Amino acid sequence: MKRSSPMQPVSANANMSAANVKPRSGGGSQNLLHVQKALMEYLLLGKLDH
Amino acid sequence: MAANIKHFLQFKDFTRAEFEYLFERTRIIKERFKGYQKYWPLEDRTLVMIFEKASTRTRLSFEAGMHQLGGSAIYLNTRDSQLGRGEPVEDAGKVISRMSDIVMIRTFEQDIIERFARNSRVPVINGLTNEYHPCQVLADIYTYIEHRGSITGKTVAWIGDSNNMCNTWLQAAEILDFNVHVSTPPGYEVEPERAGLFGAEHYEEFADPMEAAKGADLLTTDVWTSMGWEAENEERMKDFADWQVDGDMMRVAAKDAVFMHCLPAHRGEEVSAEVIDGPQSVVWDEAENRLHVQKALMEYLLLGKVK
Repeated sequence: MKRSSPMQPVSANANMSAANVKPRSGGGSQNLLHVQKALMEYLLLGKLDH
Repeated sequence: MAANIKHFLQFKDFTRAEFEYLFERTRIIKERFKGYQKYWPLEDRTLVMIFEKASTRTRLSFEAGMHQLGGSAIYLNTRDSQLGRGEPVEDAGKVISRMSDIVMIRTFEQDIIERFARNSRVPVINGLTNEYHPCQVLADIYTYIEHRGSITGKTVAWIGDSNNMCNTWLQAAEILDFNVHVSTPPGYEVEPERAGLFGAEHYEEFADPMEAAKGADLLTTDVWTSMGWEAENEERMKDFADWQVDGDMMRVAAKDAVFMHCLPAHRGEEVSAEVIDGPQSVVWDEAENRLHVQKALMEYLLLGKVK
């Protein structure tokens, strides 16, 4: 039984244009997502070096 | 807004070439899964699943499928999100799509999912509406190909209600060039406009279900009372009594005909136990293939054609 093999070399970014999917972009209500991610990171990991 | 995003809201949203690609990707993805090969092309991607109707197979297949592709899935039901009631569906489309990478919706009117998609910046998949069930028919056709080869030129017999499954089969017949024999009780006939058909060249209606089944390569049916029509259940039980797929019906079909049912099935109503549990039934492969075709679908919608 095969358990692992190299992943197919898929480049998500390279294929986004082929799929007509817009890149993620910021703004508006989406920022609720991003500030909460930063908040959880800070509460769990403290200050990180950028 | 976001007019160039590709969605899968009804079967005719894709071309024949796209379906051929999807069936080939399904074969590859299924083979890898069966071989325990890790394949995570959607790592860090999030699928949001919105359910306004009950579901077993759809939730399971999408959620498991997204995990198997390396992504995450979030389940929202009517307590969490009521499209068009809690807030305008257009607003929900804008907000939900900003926090996720792909959305699957099971809802009532097709118009709801169309409006959501028009306002979404990520792909939207129809997980069943009153009018269509494209993911199920995608799985059904893949299952037919696995068992019998190409469906082009074949005859599918649809026995029973002209519901969302029937409508989707009719759309698929136009795109993939096969024929559908439809037999419904009087008063439940196909509504071509609601089915979203280009014409009437790929289907024929039969008053007698036995006539519809004659020589068919695939017989399929669905519950007599679909979700949303429960109030009519008693009346439908009488109206559909002669539209059961049973052994006699299978015997007039092609010798190598297969039987399909999108499940859940009611043995003794739309199908006899002899048929659904018999040697021509492929319903369990059909159910499993929801997982595989939807993985191929999500891969395609998010990554385009993979080399």
